[in-house]
Amino acid sequence: MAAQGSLIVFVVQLFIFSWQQDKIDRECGMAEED
Amino acid sequence: MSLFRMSGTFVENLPKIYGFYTGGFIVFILLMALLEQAGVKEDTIGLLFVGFTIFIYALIGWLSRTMQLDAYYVAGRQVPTVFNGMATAADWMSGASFVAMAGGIYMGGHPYLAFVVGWTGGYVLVAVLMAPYLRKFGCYTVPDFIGTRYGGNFARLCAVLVLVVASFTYVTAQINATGTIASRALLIPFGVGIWIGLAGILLCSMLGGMRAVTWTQVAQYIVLIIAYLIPVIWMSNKQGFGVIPQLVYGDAVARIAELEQLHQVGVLKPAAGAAPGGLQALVTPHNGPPDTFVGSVRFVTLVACMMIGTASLPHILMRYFTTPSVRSARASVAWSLLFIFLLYFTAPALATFTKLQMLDPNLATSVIGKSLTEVNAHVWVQKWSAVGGLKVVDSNGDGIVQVSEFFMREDIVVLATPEIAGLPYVISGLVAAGGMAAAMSTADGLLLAIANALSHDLYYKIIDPKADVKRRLIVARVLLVFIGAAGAAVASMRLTGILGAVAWAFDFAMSGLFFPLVLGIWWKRANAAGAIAGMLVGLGVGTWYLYMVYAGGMAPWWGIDHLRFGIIGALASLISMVAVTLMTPAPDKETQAMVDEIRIPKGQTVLGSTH
Repeated sequence: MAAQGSLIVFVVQLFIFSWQQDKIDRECGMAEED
Repeated sequence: MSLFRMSGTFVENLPKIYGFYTGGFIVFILLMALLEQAGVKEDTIGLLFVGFTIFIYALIGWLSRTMQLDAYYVAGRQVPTVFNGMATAADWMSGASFVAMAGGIYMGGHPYLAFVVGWTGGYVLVAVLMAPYLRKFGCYTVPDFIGTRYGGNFARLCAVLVLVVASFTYVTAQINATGTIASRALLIPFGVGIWIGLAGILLCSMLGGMRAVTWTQVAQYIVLIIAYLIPVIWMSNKQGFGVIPQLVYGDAVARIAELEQLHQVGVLKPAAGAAPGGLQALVTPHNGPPDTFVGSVRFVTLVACMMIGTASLPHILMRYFTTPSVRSARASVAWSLLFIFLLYFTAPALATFTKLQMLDPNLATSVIGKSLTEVNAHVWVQKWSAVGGLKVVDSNGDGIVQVSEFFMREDIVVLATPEIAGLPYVISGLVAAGGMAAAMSTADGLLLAIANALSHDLYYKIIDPKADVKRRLIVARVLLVFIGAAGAAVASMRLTGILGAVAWAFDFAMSGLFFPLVLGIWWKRANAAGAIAGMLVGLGVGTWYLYMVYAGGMAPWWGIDHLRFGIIGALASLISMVAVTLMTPAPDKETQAMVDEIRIPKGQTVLGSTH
């Protein structure tokens, strides 16, 4: 089950990373213009 | 598209188009089920499933034909985040994931979960280290990045070399898988099946390049995920474990542990020479984590190889060149992993339920512990024995089939599961179509990665920089056909199993490309001489180690066998790249500024939209 759990962690982690990194980009004025 | 009266652009209508497509596919499945009830022969249903789906992919390929450079190489950089996630998932999940992985878990138990963990964890590396930055760079191919970042044709050539070695190893395994499935579904010899499979693959990619491959891959993902989930959910329901098998199969694992005691799994060993090569009896308990130090090292090194290999495989990285922005490339990695997760999360459950079907004496489908005549009366035992996927030998002559007397090839487990579990034949046809979709989508991505690297980097950038657009695209297509034919020719020799060849491809990619790519983005000091050393030494040392361990009779170091040679190759690559870089001058100011530029999403891509 440890292997199954790590899969779930990877998926959640990537969505959070994508969202947070985008937030940092915006705050620092480094994001792409929409 | 006027049939459904759509307004707006093609991209805006994508959810609608694929919604219709999914609905149509479900109607097709129901129609096949009706035909089966009406008494149509099983072989006809299998043929209709595989034939119809290949026809649809080819149609999409033809509709997506193009003569524009950025459409051919990067699908016009307009693939929406979620759709790119689906296409990447299909690109990624190959015959190995669909056909062989659950079979590996079935035979090998816990150690095989290393593949599952490695093949998903790799996407964390792709998102954090690679994809958004390569998208910002704006390259067409992976060697395009190496060639421009480090400068010089020789670095570009080395990257092309590594790409071709890794992707070609991989593509032969995929063509092998299409041949296996086509021969079974269309009732033709394996040698012919390979060429039919190749024809289907080329129809999808030749006219439209990346654009055609993208839209067929989305279609293939939908087919393969439906085909994988339905049998598992069905079996789980039938055995009384509920409708979400992934969450409850712990109980099934506990039941298997009891049955393994009963059938003496791991105690009974098969008689020597009872079965031909490739066929295995079940001798490993289902849920035994490694209790030795070497066992743990082997688990961790295999996870590391598959993770780092994922982050260096060009056909995956190039999918993220097709998104509209850096932000969507990053989000797209998360979506890709979600779509992949749907299948990988199910694979261990599939292996568990199939094993239960065969071991549990309370189920009508069980074979172990039954009499030889009863087992041989099963239609699926006869059919798969006839094509060499299975063998029952009563070694001790007691008339009962013990666990050590039933041999199976691990890559038939998924394909045979619906028949083993006694599901209607329509499900077998569906699974065959799913396996075909998985193998074809990956083969398409790989062939395109190789042909694009040769046509863009070798032909246009090195041999003939004055070639016009038309000439470049014709060269790309001719190369595609030749590489496909070469792959099919090698695949028809059947050198290794599907899972073995795939693992080698990952090891080759990580040996030669991982550090030149990562350090190219994250270490401004890295220069051309270092990158060339990293690629050549990594590939050379990795190949040498593979040869010595696999054929040269050398004892593996610390349990690092031929499936894990990338560890040695990548280490050699890192050391040589850092050492040579530090001994030679730093790259010029312009290159360093370019590296700064690719680390931020804002602003123009480094390379123009057509180059």
